[in-house]
Amino acid sequence: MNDLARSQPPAAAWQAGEPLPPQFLRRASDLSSIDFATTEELPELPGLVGQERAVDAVRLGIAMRRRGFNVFVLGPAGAGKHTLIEELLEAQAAREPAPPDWCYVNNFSDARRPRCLRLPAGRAVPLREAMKRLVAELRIALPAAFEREEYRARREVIDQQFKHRNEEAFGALQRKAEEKGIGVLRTPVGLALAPVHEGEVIPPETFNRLPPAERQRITADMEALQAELEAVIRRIPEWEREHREAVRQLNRDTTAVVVGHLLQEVRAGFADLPEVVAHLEQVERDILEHADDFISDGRGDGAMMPAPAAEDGASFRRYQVNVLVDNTGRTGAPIVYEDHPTHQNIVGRVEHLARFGALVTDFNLVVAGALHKANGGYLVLDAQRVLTTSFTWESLKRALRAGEIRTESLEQLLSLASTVSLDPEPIPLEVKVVLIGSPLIYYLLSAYDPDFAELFKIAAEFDDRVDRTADNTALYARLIASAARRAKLRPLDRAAVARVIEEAARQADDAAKLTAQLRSVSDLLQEADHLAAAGAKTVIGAVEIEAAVTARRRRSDRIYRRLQEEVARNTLHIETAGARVGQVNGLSVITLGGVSFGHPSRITAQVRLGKGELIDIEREVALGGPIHSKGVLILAGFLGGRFGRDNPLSLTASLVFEQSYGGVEGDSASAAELFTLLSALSGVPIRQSLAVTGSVDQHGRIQAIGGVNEKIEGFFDVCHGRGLTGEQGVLIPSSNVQHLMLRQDVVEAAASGRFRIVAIDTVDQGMELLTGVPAGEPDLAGQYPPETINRRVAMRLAAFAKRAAPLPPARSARRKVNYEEENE
Amino acid sequence: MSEPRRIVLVCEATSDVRAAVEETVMLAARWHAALHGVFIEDENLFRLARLPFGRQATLSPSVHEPLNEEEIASLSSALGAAMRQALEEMAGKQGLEWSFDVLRDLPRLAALAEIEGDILVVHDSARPFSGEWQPRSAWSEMPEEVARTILLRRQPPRARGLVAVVAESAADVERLLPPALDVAGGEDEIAIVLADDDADAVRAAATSLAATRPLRVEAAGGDLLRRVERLDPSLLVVAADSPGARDLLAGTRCDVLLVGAE
Repeated sequence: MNDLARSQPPAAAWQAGEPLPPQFLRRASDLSSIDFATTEELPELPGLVGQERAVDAVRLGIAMRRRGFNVFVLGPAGAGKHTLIEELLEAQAAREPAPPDWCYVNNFSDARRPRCLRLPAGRAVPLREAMKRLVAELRIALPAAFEREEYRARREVIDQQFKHRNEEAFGALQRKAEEKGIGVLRTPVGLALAPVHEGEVIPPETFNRLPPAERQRITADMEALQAELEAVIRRIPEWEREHREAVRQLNRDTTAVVVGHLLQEVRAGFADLPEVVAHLEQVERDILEHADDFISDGRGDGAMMPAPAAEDGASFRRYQVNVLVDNTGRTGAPIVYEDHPTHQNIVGRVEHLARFGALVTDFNLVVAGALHKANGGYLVLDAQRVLTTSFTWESLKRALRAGEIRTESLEQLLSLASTVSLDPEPIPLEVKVVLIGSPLIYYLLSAYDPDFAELFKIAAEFDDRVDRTADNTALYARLIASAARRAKLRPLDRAAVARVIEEAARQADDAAKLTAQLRSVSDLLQEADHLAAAGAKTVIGAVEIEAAVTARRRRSDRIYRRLQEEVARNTLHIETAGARVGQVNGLSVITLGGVSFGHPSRITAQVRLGKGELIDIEREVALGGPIHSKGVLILAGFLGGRFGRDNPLSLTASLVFEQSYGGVEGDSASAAELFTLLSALSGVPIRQSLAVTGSVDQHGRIQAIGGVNEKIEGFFDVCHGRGLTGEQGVLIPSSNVQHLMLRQDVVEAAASGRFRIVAIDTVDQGMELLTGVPAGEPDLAGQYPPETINRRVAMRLAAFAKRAAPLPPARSARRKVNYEEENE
Repeated sequence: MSEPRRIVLVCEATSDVRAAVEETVMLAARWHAALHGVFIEDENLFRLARLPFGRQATLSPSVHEPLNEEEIASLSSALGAAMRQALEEMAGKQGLEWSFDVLRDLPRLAALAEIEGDILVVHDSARPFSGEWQPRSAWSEMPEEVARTILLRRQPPRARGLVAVVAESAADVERLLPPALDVAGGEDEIAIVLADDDADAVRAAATSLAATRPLRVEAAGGDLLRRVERLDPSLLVVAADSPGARDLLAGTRCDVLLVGAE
């Protein structure tokens, strides 16, 4: 009795070589351990079934607050990874404190490098609003202060002082010059001195007619006055500077009174935050320096400062606070799911505004990325999207490695642009990144990216199937109930739950397992609910589940039906009756668009005298994959081991999948190929009513293959189309019995004896069932009994060997000549 | 003053030519008068350039630069061309008839006696050199005889200000106020500075001419120049043949409208 029988219901037992009893063809659900009428009565199931190892890994990963302990969650699509991660993260995040707010403010010493401010959660927005109010109040209060009589009077004094100084200096010079008959003239670009008479410059002719002494006096006076004029002019820039400075100081004093008072209110609200207080001091200094901006409506010059809105003077923007991350009202750590993980969406971006044909920016245009939003919490990303979006993976790694978020454009990152742009101060990063992806991505990253192991130390691997134990079955029922509730579906009755669980086992392709791909189960429930609604039912029953399963299969079986049709029309030649030498029905699985179905293939063999070659025609024409070729080579090993120990295998055999026009891969047909080869060698015909699947080893043991259910059903459908005779059936490896979750119609046909599924352990068992001829066990001398398959094969090979050898082979210690004599 | 048909604008090398043209074009457009531009090449500068010590002091780092005739001629020519171009543009825009002349002479009102025109607008508002100080200008010397109305612009245009009209009698008000209203902006306050005579009659005459304007009548109180200085008007309107006209022209720095005898 096979070991598997022990995991089957107690009454069950099966014998290799005998048709399997129906209870082994499909394992029904046993819900006896849970008491419920409909899923409404079943409690909610948090988490998943049978994924404890992955759950533990995720828990460890999200609890470890050390650098590099980021989590890669790998597993098949639809396994509920996202849902589970969401639940686990929410539970963990709720226990953690809300992270701080982050802002960018102007760097008054270098506008290109905005400074970041870290504030306790919920304090950034009040700061932003306080600064907005401050600017608004300053824009009213400062002009008002400058309009006051006191200011005007002081300004008038300064201006008058300047004016007076000018007039005094130039006036004195003018008077002195006039006393000497010299006038001061305006030239187009300056001042000039000239000897005048009655308001006119003396004509040169007149001057030349003057007595030499007079000319000398005038010339000397001119020289002296020129020197004085130049001395006065030289002092003008200094006077103007002094005037400007005096005005500036007055403005500063006037501003200081207003600003000091207004800023005091802001300071009081943030006195506990030294960074903010320091920033406010810089703001105060800057306002004092740029008080004119408030008087001239804020259109002062500010490096990098655009004027994005008329109501916000360009200069005033530098006092604003750009709240990058606002955690107001947050009670736990943030969990951010970034569906579109571009470089910019991850590390943030610096936006620009078009102004008069130029792009301008400032710290107010720095926009947060997912890392900013998730800082202090968790960032969940889809690994494939991260890897297929240009530069995102590199940017993410750089941020995690450096422990800071540096917001820079791709142009900066790649040194493609040399224009001046912002270089915001990096923000310290403390985030746990959870990447969700397929095992293939995980293994590729592990193999080819040395940073990966450093940055993602925790791998949480979700299984694609779980054990179908009684406990897990009960949990699966709760899972189904939870899924139905979450999707607001009708409740399922017991039979429906049982049927869903059976379908879950079928999807796992294993009677002892249940699929972990919950999306598929959830989709099935939704379809069944739709059918229940159409039937005006309040509860989803097994009928609706069965109908949904059938409908789903029908939707995607066009190619399968086409193949079945071609077999029925004998376009594809498959025999299901009679017997043939060197021909057997093999079974293959075709997977198209995620749908798998079985299909019989006619495998034939030809043997002739040769040099020990086993020709795999599929391989010769490059249609055979490496595993298939390996299977064929194993056949050679088997033949050599069993029949060629003393004689060379002097044959050439060719094997082929008839009417196969695509690639062949896998070794699940190697048993069938061996059977057809043995048939060809022995000349014993094979029953065409049977099909075979299974791989074989060099010792002739039949081994498990995949897709056993689909293969059986594929041959069943062919036979069913031609009429079941009771002779038809499929030989499968015994080790595949545990995987059987066949369709109900197949089970019923088997139960009624119209179709049979027979498990085999060895090649000999298979040959006997296929030919009705005993395989034959060798005696102590290694000789097979007469009228057995093996005897016939041995004789044929011996005959080949004899014909191939120019000289009689050397005598061996073992007797082998008997076959040669028999052949003769 | 009857409606002028030809206005003459006079600028020289230190004038802010574009501002002068713009303002005068607007003035001429009120009456749709023809506009004649005259650019005075300052003979004083040419004379100075020919003197052995001719040089000018500027705000440039070198402070003093030699002054030669060629440079003066070249600068004058360029500024004259700029004035002509400004006239062409702005008068053309307003659809005004315009003409232009360059005259080499001394910059004084007496030199303009031969130029035909109903109003003479002289721009003596030199571009600032340092602060507000300006050398004494020859344009402020009253000629022996003023037949026409002369507007002497000595300040940059101001949006609004006080118009001070110096009158001795109601007859003076009737003579001076209409051109003052024509030249001044529509909302300017009018102050009649009464030099001598009956205040009530003057007020009555002024009210009848400018009923809708803010109007006040003030007595000069003996010192007319100080009274005017205290008022700090943007435009002073005075009869050219009045006894105080010469002192007012020389002693103030505001714009002056000298109303001639014709």
